[in-house]
Amino acid sequence: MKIMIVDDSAAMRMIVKKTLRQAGFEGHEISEAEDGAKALAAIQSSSPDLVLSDWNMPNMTGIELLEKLAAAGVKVKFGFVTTEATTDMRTRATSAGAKFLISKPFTPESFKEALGPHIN
Amino acid sequence: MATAYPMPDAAKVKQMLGLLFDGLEVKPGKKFDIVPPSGCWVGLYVADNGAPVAACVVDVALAANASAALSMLPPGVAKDAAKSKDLTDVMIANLREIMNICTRLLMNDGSAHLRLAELYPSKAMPADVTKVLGAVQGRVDFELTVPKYGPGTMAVVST
Repeated sequence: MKIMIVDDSAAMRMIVKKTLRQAGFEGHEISEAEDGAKALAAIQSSSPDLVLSDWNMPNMTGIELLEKLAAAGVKVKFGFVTTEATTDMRTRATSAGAKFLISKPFTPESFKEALGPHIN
Repeated sequence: MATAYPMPDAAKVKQMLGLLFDGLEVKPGKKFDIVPPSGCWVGLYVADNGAPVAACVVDVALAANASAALSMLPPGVAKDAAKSKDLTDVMIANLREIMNICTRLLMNDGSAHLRLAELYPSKAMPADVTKVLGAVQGRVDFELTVPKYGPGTMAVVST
């Protein structure tokens, strides 16, 4: 499975990768992007199966990325890994088509619970 | 005095940041100076209308220790940074992410929303930060110890 991690923090991308392994999701092809704009181009060219995206990023936010993917007709499983954890933000994410929202900071257990239904 | 955002206690700080730093110790701390020569770092939080409403301030020791620990840089790098009061670019990026996560210390389901606007070293605090720090209605201070790296202090302030 091809998984793309989108976050402007290199340390957080590393932590997300480590947590994926700790949650038992190993052996997948992982790619990274450092903001929504770069992710949009990368998703359109490499067609990942799943995108794990931060919300607040420079150039293009995660929610803007999700909306642009939908507008472009790109079909990809998309979820947030973000500090935006309020009910309002969860509702906004779901309305835009996000499959899940994992709040930072997170645990391997929260990854298992959110990603289990979406990772082979 | 009532604040616009819920103020965290030591247990909440440990619960939240302990997920980043395994074994983190947190206890209430003494007030420390938030002034330019101190070398502290300030995460400025803004409301949805862009108005500065809160901040998280860490002294240079915690800035160095936590930012180094986030990506497992050698503890010696943190010690050098604390001594020189100068963080590397990687450490600044890491501290920004920690400050981003600290937004959750000031929010719950019933509170207004805020987000990290910017991270500033105390020597370059702009008027926005000075304004928030000068209009603080609530302040809580903590002593944190990051395992393998060391201690430092943190203040969370809200208008």
